[in-house]
Amino acid sequence: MNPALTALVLARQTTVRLLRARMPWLLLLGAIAGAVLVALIGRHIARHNRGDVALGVITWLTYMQFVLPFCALWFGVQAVQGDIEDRTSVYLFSRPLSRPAMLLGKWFAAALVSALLILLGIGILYVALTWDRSRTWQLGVRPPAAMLPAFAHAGVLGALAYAALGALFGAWFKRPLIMGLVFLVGWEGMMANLPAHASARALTVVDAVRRLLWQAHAPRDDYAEVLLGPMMVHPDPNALDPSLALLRFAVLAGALAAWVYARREYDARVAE
Amino acid sequence: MSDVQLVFDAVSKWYGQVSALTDVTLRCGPGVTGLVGRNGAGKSTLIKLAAGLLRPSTGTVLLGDAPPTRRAARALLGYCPDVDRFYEEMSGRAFVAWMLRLDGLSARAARERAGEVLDQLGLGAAMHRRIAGYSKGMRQRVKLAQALGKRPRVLLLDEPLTGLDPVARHQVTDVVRQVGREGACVLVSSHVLHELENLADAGIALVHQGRLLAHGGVAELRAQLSERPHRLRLRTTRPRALAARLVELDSVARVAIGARDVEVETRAVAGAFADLTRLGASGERLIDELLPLDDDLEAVFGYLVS
Repeated sequence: MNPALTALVLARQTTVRLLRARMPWLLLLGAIAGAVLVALIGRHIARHNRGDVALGVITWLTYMQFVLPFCALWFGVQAVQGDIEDRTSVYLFSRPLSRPAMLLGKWFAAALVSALLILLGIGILYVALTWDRSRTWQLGVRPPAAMLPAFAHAGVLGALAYAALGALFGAWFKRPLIMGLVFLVGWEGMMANLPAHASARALTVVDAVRRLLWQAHAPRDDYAEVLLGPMMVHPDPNALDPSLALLRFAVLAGALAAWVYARREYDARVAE
Repeated sequence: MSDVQLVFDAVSKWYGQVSALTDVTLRCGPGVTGLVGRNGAGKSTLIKLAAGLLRPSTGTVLLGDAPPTRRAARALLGYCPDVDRFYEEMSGRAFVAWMLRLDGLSARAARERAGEVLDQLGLGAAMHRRIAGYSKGMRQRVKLAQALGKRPRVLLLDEPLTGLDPVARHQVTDVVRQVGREGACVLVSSHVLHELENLADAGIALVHQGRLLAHGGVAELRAQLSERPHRLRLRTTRPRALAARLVELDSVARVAIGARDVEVETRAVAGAFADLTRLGASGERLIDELLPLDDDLEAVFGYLVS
């Protein structure tokens, strides 16, 4: 089977496997529960906020800061390590398939499932904020639908990057979820809150994601503090374009994951 | 179909500080070669090296002309692992078809071939049920089917008869033997010796503590052990009289008398057979039947590892 077809077939199979797990459905349930809550307190939110700021801040604080990284990383790890751990990988590894192509398929499947969940979640949030047309928003600014494509753009690229990282950790480490947590909570938590000009920010995914969200707004300092953190009132104008930064991160992590996956022996001395 | 050989040349495998295989040189050609050893002897490691799942620490493994880590070499391969793991939510047929699809068959050809091979292994009636509901024996046959489906030139079977009932065992043995007869190189591992005795027509490889102790036919292996005592059972109606004659023979080292037989131990097999033949042909009719006790695999294995 040629590598392109291998990647496609594995992507399809991995997507089905990931959707059969409990995680996506729990996330969806969480998104619906959150949306119900937002719908219930929507009048209160509208009284104290502009619609664009409310949509941006809630999206950032829930989906982009927490759900996207944790879920895409988890799916990336599961896609790659799930069948190594349950040892069904022997069926794949003993067949004439290219391992880098297999990893590519698994990575795309993880990114696809994560992106779908994020998009669905943001869509549900938008509906929860706007369903009651009688609400009066501060300054009359309703949550604008025009922000959604920018959020989708950030969600898809972020999912691609975090899933690549999950795939890398899954291919590399025996306890990839712990390494993932160390990365998200330790590394990203520290680096992404450095001053705007710090070049180490480029080694995180979250920095590029929030710069993409920032681009969806007219610059406002009150919003910037919530979105970008107290150390960075405005993003560094000389930093690499956030879309390119995310793509670069995803490609590098994906390529490294493919390299590790192709060379590694995934067989501990279990059977004997 | 041209013959493909599976070659291990001075192969050693280390897991960190632990040596799993040491300097194994083995060449398997067409037919069924049995791989025998106790649990932990290194059989699965040897098979995983042949399947390209592991790389040798030193030495070379070749499947045909290429190492099995190459895709071209793995295209020749069918591998039945020892692990009892599946995509449980799939039906037996869907699983085998999916595996054959990964082997490069078209979706339709894979489905048809999956049905055919499952039928051949006696799983035709249950092939549409979910694997999660299969018995141990049915799961074992699904594993075999995914290995056999592509008609491999090299077939690696790691403990394939485990968990099979006698009927299924017979079916599977027949199918494996047939694959070997058609010219494929088949390597079958087992720690149950008598399973392989009738199956392995191309010889037996004995592995113990990571080393290859011997390789050859059962009788051939036994002959290599000429310095070891051989035991023979002589059926007779007059065991005491026979024993009295046997102790006079130089070729006989020890005699044990039973109710209707006498057991003889000898270190000079050829001489003992000549003497016993003469004794049997004499007018006294002391020997009704002669049975070699050590030509079975169990005995050979016992001698070699002791």
